[in-house]
Amino acid sequence: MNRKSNYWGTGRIGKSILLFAPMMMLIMLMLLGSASGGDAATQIARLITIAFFGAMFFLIIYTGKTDKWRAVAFIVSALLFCIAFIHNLILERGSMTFSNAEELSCTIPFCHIVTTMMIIPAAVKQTILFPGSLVEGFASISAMFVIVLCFSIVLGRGFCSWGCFYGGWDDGTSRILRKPVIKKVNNSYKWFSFAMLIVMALWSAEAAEPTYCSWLCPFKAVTENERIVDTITLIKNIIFTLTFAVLVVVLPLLTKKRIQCATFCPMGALLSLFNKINIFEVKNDTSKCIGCGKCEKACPMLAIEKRCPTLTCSKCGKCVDACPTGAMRFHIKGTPIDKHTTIARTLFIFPAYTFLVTLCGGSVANGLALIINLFI
Amino acid sequence: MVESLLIGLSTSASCVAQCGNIILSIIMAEKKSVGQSYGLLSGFMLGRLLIYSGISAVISLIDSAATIPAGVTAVSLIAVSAIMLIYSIGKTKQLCLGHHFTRKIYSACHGRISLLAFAAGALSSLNICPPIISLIASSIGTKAVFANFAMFFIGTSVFFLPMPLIGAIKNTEAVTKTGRAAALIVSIIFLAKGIGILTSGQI
Ligand code: SF4
Ligand code: SF4
Repeated sequence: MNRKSNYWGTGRIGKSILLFAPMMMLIMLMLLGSASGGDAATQIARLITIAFFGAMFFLIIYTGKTDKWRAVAFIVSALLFCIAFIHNLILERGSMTFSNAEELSCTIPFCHIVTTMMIIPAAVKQTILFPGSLVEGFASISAMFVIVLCFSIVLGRGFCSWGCFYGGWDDGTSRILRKPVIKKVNNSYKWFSFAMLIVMALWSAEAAEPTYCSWLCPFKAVTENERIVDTITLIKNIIFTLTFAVLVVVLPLLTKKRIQCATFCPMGALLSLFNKINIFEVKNDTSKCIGCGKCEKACPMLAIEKRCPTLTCSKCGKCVDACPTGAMRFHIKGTPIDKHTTIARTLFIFPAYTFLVTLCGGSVANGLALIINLFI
Repeated sequence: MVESLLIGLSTSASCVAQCGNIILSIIMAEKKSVGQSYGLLSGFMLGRLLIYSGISAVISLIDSAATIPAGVTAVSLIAVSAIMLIYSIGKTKQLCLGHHFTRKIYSACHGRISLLAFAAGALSSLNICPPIISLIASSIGTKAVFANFAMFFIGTSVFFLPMPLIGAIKNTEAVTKTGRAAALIVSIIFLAKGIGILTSGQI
């Protein structure tokens, strides 16, 4: 069965436009609504960003290929986010680095990953140990917590493929080679991220600092990092560079798996738990499955076991795209697996894509404006 | 004494963070019932109690907190690290350097896993942490050093008690593998801490 040609049946273009129109309005509202003025480069960047996100959404809907076009939007978002973020840091602070004193005086930004470090220290010691006020233009810690919480409840671990502005890095590097050099990666390695979550949360409570951020985060290499002033800060920076090089670049490149997200990130492990209470899932209709194993080979999160997506599925849709029989599909829990597939997929993609544009749209426009400014 | 109990209760987050990692990963990686997991916890707690008693005896005798040099703390941390590493690698079937050796040590402990928990508890208590330092400071010169340590032990133990309940869900492969991975991470952290203390000479 050719799933692609049967995706919408007849009138495919009409139905696609019907679904595309409200999303396009939302994208325009999000990117134009709060923004006013700006130089020519900013205006052009905004228009390109709107056209880009609109086009990717249309292609997801029209072609029936979820992961293919999602990945383009996701990877571009990650790259431009970092460009915009670094530029903002240099504008506000004059440098990508921060000192320990600045960290303690709450004047540096932070990301959603730190929320996992905060939970235990904040609950047990009744203090929020990580800086709470931020460089202008980025969310406050409570706002970030609420955004991540809402996202997790609505999409479960979908955050890791539809919202996280770091995830695009290893999603990107894992797609560079056509075939993996390391062909077999043991699925069990995914449990390492759960161990990271437990140990890091407890260690943060003991050390009274977000230890993952202070010592291990690979993305410090492409955002901000502690200024090298002594041996300790030198060691920290070596660790940041090594974890980025190994977990985000080399291993994803060689294995075609998102190694940092699938095996290391404590936030990913926490979000996996939200998959339990989330209504959306990717599921195998075993009556249609021919056991070819293409889904398991395609899954970048090491999430598929015995042909079935498990707890750590990030709902990227790669296995759905790869499945030759259409057995693997988006599904709403509690509904029959063989019915309403298109509705389930559409109902998931709408909020997921809205979150992606909400979290990354502004940064993409800013990053683009910076690049355009280089040429005009 | 009440003060010691309060120190124990109020600093137990730090204790659970420090020692909880060790026993939690052992409990998670073992396929035992809740009851048997409490047995492991008991072994671990007994190890802690023994060392606390030893420290309080030393303090009572010479009334000084400066009797445990940094080197002892560093070596105890490295020993805990080695125990966790042996535990983690010994529990995995994958080949790696030293696999044969560590499997042997692990199998030597077979059936006596509570002995391993006991040793881990004892060695981790030698790691002088901020709660113990505050306890020592508040105990020096008083006539109730043993009682203070006992109350402190009770206070810090409260938060360990729910840990074996994880036994109720541990029969899944996921929990077991997470436990083994946690043991490995803890081992690396303790090794780094131990080396840090050894090289700097400061706790
Ligand atoms: S199971 Fe499918 S949807 Fe889930 S992470 Fe793997 S490839 Fe993506
Ligand atoms: S790709 Fe599709 S048909 Fe093949 S094993 Fe996976 S679910 Fe079954």
